[in-house]
Amino acid sequence: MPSSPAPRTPRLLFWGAAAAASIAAIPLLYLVIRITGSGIDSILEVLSRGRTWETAGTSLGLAFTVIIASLAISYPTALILTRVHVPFPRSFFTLAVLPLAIPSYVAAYAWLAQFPAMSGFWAAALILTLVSFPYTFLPIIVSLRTSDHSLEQVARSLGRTPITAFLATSFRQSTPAAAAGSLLIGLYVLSDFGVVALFRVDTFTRVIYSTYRASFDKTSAAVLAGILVLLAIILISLERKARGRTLRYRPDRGVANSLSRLTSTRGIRSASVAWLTGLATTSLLIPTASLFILMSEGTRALDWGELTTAVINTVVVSFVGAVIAVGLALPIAALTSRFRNRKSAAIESLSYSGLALPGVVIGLSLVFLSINVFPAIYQSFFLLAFAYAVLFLPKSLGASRSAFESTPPVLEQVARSLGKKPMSAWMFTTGRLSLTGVAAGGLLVMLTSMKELPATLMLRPTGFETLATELWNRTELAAYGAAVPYALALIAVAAIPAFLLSKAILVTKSEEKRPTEISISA
Amino acid sequence: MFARKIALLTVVSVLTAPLLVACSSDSGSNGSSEEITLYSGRGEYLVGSLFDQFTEETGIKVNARYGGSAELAAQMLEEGDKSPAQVYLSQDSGALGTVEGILATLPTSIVNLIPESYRAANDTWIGVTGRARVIAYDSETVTEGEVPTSVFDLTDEKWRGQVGIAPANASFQSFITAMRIAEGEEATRNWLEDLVANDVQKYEKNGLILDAVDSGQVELGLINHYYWFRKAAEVGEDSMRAQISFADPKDPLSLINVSGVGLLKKSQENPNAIAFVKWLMSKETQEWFANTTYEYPLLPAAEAAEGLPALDSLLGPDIDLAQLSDLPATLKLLQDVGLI
Amino acid sequence: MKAIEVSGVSAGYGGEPVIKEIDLAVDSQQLLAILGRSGSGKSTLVKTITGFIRPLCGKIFLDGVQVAGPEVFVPPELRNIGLVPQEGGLFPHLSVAQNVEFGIRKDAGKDLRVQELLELVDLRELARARPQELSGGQQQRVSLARALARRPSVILLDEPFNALDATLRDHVRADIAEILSHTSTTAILVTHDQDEALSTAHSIALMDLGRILAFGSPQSLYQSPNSIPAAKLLGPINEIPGTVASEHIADTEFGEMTFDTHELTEVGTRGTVLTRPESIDFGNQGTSALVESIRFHGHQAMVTVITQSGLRLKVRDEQSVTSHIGDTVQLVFNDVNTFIPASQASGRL
Repeated sequence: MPSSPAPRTPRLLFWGAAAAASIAAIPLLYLVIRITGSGIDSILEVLSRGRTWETAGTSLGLAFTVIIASLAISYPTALILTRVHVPFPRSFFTLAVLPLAIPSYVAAYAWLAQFPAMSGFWAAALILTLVSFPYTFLPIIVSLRTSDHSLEQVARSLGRTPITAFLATSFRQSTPAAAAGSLLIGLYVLSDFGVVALFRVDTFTRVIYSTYRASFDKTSAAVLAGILVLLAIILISLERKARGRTLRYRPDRGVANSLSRLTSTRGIRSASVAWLTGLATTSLLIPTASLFILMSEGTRALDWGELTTAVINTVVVSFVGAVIAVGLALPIAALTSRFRNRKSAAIESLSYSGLALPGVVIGLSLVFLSINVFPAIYQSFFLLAFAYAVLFLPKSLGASRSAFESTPPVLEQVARSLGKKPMSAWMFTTGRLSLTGVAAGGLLVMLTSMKELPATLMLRPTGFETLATELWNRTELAAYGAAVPYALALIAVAAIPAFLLSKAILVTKSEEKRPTEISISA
Repeated sequence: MFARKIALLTVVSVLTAPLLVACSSDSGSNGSSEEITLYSGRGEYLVGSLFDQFTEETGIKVNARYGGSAELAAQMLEEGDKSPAQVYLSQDSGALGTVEGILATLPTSIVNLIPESYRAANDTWIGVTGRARVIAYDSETVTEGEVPTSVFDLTDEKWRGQVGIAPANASFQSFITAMRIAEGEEATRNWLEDLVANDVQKYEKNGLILDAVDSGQVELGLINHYYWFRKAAEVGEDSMRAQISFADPKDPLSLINVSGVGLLKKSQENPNAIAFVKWLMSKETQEWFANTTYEYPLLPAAEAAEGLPALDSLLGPDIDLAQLSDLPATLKLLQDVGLI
Repeated sequence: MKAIEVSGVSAGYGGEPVIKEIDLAVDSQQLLAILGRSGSGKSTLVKTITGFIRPLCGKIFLDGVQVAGPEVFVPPELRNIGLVPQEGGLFPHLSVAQNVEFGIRKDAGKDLRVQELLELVDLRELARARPQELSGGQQQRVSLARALARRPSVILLDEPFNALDATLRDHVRADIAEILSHTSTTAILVTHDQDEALSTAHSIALMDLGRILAFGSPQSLYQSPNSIPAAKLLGPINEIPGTVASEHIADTEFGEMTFDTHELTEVGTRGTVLTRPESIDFGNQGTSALVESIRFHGHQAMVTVITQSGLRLKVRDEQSVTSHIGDTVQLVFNDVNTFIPASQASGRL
């Protein structure tokens, strides 16, 4: 399709997106206030510490290691599930998505309980990979399913081997999706505290936490967080480069080009099943089994009422957070999916700040904003849900954007020519066709919010306990046996959106057949 | 259809949300009625039932907000004078020291309840419980006699890679502050450098050090005494591979650190808040701490848990606890040697 | 009163305008084809007429009512222009009938109208089908029915036959032309296919580089183009250098050639005589030339010959193959030629 130059951005949409992005950028604003409020000396002092750069290097190194390892897991898994006849493909698909439900700190603790010698960079990289590889697996499998298989056949006919043909065509087509997933993983690793703390890796976020914790030295902590933002910008720009302009609308040309499963030998099939089983074992079975072992060692009786309240609170607050996140993401996604220019790129980048920053920075920035500007909602249910929206907006943004991108813009124009106003034309066509994709983004926010801790501790209403805070209440006091039921409940509750997410993708890809592309990627 | 289900779920949840919030949190605590808002650096799992008991006895409801002591302190500083907090209960004196500027002076009737050495010099906070620094050791590889009694033994080649510390933890930092005051800056710096050179193992928290010693990952660990007693109570004393040893009474290692409580400035005259602090310092509460958390009660009349050496016998280095809030220099030192 | 009138319209996407100073008028119930290569600005013109782009200057009238101009801008949904986009643009989540009724207000006559429209496009039995179950041609017919549903003042067909294979294309094209004339609908067909434009439209606007090169009936544009680019857009053309000798005669290397002209040209003016391949015949006497290549089309053949001066000419051989490569043939020139003075060779109106 010959691409025409982008029309001028509708003003209302632009300002709507700008407003949503500035809400997401509140933490950045806070950092700027804190950093500029201090003398240049203290900034220079932080910057001149050798340790600042050493830990920044470790953080980046860890981020790249986890990204590479996740890709190394995601590609074979996605290939097996799209091209090899394995038994129960749908169940294996769901099993490959479910690790999203395991909080990284719980996974780390569960592994540590069984293998106390685990520590350091590689142990952290392993656990972070096991909990975050679905972020690349999902967009890659979606891309492999929708990619034009005829290209691969052309490449074969031009003398390529199956592998080089794959690399030259379907793999190339999947790189934007893989890059987007990698960005989410990278940002997640940069801001992770739980795993690196347990495995004793000196990363940048750990230094930020110690600085906040030990000295309430707001300036150096803010300067450090500022550097983290810079690291995040590096990742974001790498991703944008990889994505390029390739993700514009791709028409789905129906059956002719869809992928036929390759005939596979028995050896390949058994190796595939072994791989999938091994993955499910390390990413799901080991941590949960370890938790069950730990639970049997606990002594204090479980208070079912407390657990039920925590489950309900967790579900409701993360759900409302997801709804707000989707609401904020819609105008930004609508803008960036149709109008790609410098301004829309800036708006998009701003909205990513939440994901890169440690929860403690987001928490303090919302404390600062709320108590000074909206004291009425301070430490209210709404503020906590709002914090989740700010933190995890990019996850919903990516999903909504790619759903919009895969909807042909001409449908909107047809609807307008048939008498619909711009908004209702959008709702009837792009909005309606992207519903599943948008919902998938919401599920992802919900699922991540359930596991969030530092901002939850700071912003929840006094006395409001979620599964994550109850878990913290117990682990903080080394009452691990008593903590386990909460860890298991958290995994079980988070597994629901993870499960729905995998269903949403299966539904769109197999039954609806037409344009909506679901991608959880950014 | 999937999307429709989601939409339905949205409607249902949004409708029920206010209901749930109302059940799970009682907001609107302005302190005017019979309630207080407490920022507690001590976990709910530990002290939640204690606060219930206070409400039962006095009819004053406690709106407790739990969090890390340091995070709560940072939060109160960010909140400034708009903070909803009335009382701040902290896990360690260091965090109390950093928020002294927003704390009220406590009534003399309260501060005089405990010895001078366990409270702030300017009476903005008092200690509630005491904890001794101890060395946890792996009883399968180390005998009690081999355990060092002085900090300076920890840098011995014999313990290379075998000492666990939690440098980001407030009690470790208090210990370093104490060491700086007792032994001097130079000696402390040298010691830290030696420690790093001796491949000291860093952990996030005391509890994790104890777990590491208990599973044989390191032979020695610097922790607070009650972690051991608490873990022993949870898993049974017999299954503890880690044992603890108290240091030489004059050594900085034997520092007694405290958890403490203070009132926010606007609650200086608040009778409920004052009643709460008084209640914390009552003999019953102090002994509850002694028997539940295995910490030392600071009220002279209250008795410590069985099996603990007397608080007097531990003495600790001869320093004023208030001096322990001189954290910035300690942090700078820890940053310089690369521990945090 | 014209059904559509575009006057002096320039439009673009910010920066340099993509279409410049467009003038266009379509009579009621006529079909205008806009013919141009891709990138010539056709789609931009369509978007400007439908109201998705606001012109930088100029005015647009629909049935005499101004819909765009310096002070006026009517949004697309109020212009009542039916749109049939490339590949149909059917809503994939709606059935055929739901697609057709999309633009109709809810009232008692709605179902009847949908029936009527589906009958018109001969798809009654597929009312409940999903768009993805239809063939390409069926999709286009649904798209047309949908566009006709609101009785639009004009229908815009934006390269609607692109995605169809060649044999199907002729059918669908004829069907749609038939339906349009049956419903007396004014229409604009955007296309890059000269056969399509020539065979379907009442009039043609030739577009290149954002401007209208020529505007007129298919026949006049084909036989007497006003410029070389315009001539090329409508099919192969031979360019023979010449000088005007008298009112309708030019001197060329092949001797005197007769031509039609738009305006009187001074004797002695140098320029080009344009002649279509079918205006040259093979004869027994005339200019001799060597056959260089032959492209066989079944019912006819396109023969390329080289004259003695080295000029290449295309000749349509209606008898199919009567010559062979390497043969020497004699060329006879008919009288249906056009003369373009060298000064106007680039062809701006």
